[in-house]
Amino acid sequence: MYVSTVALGACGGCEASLLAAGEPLVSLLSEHDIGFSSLLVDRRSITPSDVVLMSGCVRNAEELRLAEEVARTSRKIVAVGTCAVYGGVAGLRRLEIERSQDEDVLPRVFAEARPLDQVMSVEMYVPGCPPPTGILFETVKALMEGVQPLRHDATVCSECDRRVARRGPARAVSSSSGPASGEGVCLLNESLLCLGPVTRGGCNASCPSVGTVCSGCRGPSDAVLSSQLHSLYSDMVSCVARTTGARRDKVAAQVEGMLDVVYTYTACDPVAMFKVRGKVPRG
Amino acid sequence: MAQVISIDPVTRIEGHLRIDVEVSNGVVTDAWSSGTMFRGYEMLIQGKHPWDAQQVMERICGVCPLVHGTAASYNLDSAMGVKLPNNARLIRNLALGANYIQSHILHFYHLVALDYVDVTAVLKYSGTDPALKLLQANIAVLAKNNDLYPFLPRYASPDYIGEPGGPGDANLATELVGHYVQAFEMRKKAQEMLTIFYGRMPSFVGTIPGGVTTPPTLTNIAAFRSRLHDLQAWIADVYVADVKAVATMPAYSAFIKAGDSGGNFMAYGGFDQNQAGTDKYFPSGIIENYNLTPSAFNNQQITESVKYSWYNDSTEGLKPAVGKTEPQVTKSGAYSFLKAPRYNGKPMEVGPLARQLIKKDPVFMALATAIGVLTPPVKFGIIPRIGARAVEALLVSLEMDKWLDQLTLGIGSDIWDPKGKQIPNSSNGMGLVEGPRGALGHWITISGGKTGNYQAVVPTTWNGSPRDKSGVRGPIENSLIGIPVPDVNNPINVVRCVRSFDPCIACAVHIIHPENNSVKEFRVV
Repeated sequence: MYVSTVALGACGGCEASLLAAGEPLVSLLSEHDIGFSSLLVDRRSITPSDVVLMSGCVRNAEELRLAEEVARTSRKIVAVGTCAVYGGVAGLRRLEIERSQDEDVLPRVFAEARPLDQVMSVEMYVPGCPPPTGILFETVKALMEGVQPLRHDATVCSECDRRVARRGPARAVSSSSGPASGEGVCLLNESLLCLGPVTRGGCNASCPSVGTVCSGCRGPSDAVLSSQLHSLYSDMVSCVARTTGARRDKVAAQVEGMLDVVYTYTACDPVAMFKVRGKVPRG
Repeated sequence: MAQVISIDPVTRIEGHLRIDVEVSNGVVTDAWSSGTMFRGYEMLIQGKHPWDAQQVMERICGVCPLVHGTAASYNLDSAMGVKLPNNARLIRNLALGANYIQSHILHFYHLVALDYVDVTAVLKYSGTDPALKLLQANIAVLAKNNDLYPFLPRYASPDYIGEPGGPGDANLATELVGHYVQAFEMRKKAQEMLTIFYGRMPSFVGTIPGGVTTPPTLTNIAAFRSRLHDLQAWIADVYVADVKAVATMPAYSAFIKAGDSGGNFMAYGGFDQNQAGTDKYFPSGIIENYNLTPSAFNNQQITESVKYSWYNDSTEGLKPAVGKTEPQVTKSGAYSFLKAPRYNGKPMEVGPLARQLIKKDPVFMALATAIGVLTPPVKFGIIPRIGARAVEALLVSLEMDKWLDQLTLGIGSDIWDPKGKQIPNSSNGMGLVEGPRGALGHWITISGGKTGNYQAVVPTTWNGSPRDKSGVRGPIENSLIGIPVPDVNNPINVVRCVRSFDPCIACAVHIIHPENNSVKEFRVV
């Protein structure tokens, strides 16, 4: 079985996360074949592959061409990482860049970053910026062995050790950053905008565990994705109001001023606006 | 007759780099280095909350998010007038040190080593080590299927000769390939060290404006130290030893001098040794024209030329603090998305070699003298560049023990200065650090409480820069001049030279480059 990695508009973090699996990854790959992977091997051309781990968003015409070529020649495309699944941080802003005279040399840059499933059909989604090493490795292993990977449908909060105070101080949420007090209480109680309640887990709450807010890198949780009644914004507002005891309308106005933060990774994805039932990640 | 060879992309580096070289009579006579990716990260955060800079900017690169996140933190610290608490300083040092270790191991074993040994020689391994025999058997299966990826370099080298201690020595090659596999595990340990204080890697959290978020405890110090000691031993016994073995192979003696970038080196200085940041483990300094007595570094001397870059000419010669990112892809004559940063108008090589030459660490200088780097004519080629990286991994790992010792425990052990939370209405910041690949700077202008302008000048922008307004080549371009290419179908020496800089184009900017019409083309996706 041939497995390949392709990075489109990516930073290489997803590949780095996979590599961090260490020896088990080497063992797994020694039973299979690496098709192409520009970080690791010097193969000359795109070889037909059974599984392609595609990371990064589609931001220009060349990435689109490459993605389409790979899709034509390969069997299963796995969207790896939040850029591939939701567009990621590259979608924070529109970039208006003129077209070059010779688009063979300099491909056209699209104003918007596009998640992979806007340009091709995707077999499976493994979100995360980057996906945690364990999840990524287990997903690859399952695919190579022909079994269904585990689904991680719980929220980050469900994996977090911090305790929710019976009723926190009724302070407003302040922002996305700032250290915790060190008392091990829920970061929302500390008036920090932690996106744990609305974010897909599987990461063992690695950020809150070192006193930093969850920034939502694994994208919306199943609950947020699966119903038109929910959104990252409205669910966050409810959660903050409930946890801190602050007035809902006051919280709503504050969170509205921080939408950049709430939608850091999903700003260019329709999921942020309209729920797509089919787009419930595996892995 | 001169022929132009294009290597696009250069693989086994991070990101998308294109190298064109002109070859005449078997040697490179001219070279062009093009970063063909545009990602516009500096533009993404304009108008956003300044705190977002740390989380967004670290995503410039998935291989070295740590240095970008750290530079962004120092940058915001400086904009807010933060006095970094002692524990925060030490934890940032420790994390950056762990990042050096993982990055340097990755570079030598997974990106570079396969250019220097003949993997097919493993088939002739005659030793008795059971692990290596198993490896030999695995490679034999791959070889039988005529499929030696990922081990086979794209270009087999004519200098793979089988004499003992040479690149084709079966036992040596087998050991090195065995270490290639071990290195994955070692790198993993270094990444685990990072997660102790920073939660996760890549895209870590845990450093914020004002300090860090996790206090040191007996448990996390012990967990950190046990991994550190494993790594120190492995780096000394395996990594440094392997680099020495390759560096002293007669087949590569020419590479001690070949691949010299032009004799200019720069370090911003890194790893604060005191709270004020005035004393640094790696001192800052400038070496000009091979004068090994460094002169003082002054950040006001940095400017960026865009004459050969796809950016608006009106942004020519700006200092990074007031730098602009205005892409103009219709510009004629331009060939790179990298700008051409210059110090006092001159190109500068940055990275481990620059740091060691400026620090003059006795361990490195002794090694450099032993292999003849310092015998006239003094040139710093491919081998010293790779060697400096290995020595540095060892020295930094040893220094990290001292930083662990200095951490203070208990309630009130300071990790954060609350000034980090007070966003000024308008301010300027600068964060200069030494990343594994070299000098990295971030600059921010805060206006109206939001990020007005943000500029990052990364190590690969220095090393991989295109020509500047005077037509002077960048360090990688210059280092390629004179590199032997006896067979234009096999430019292995060109990629050896380029990879010795550990270029990371993801840090630069992002558009993937397609086919071209050069005489010879080597394309790998």
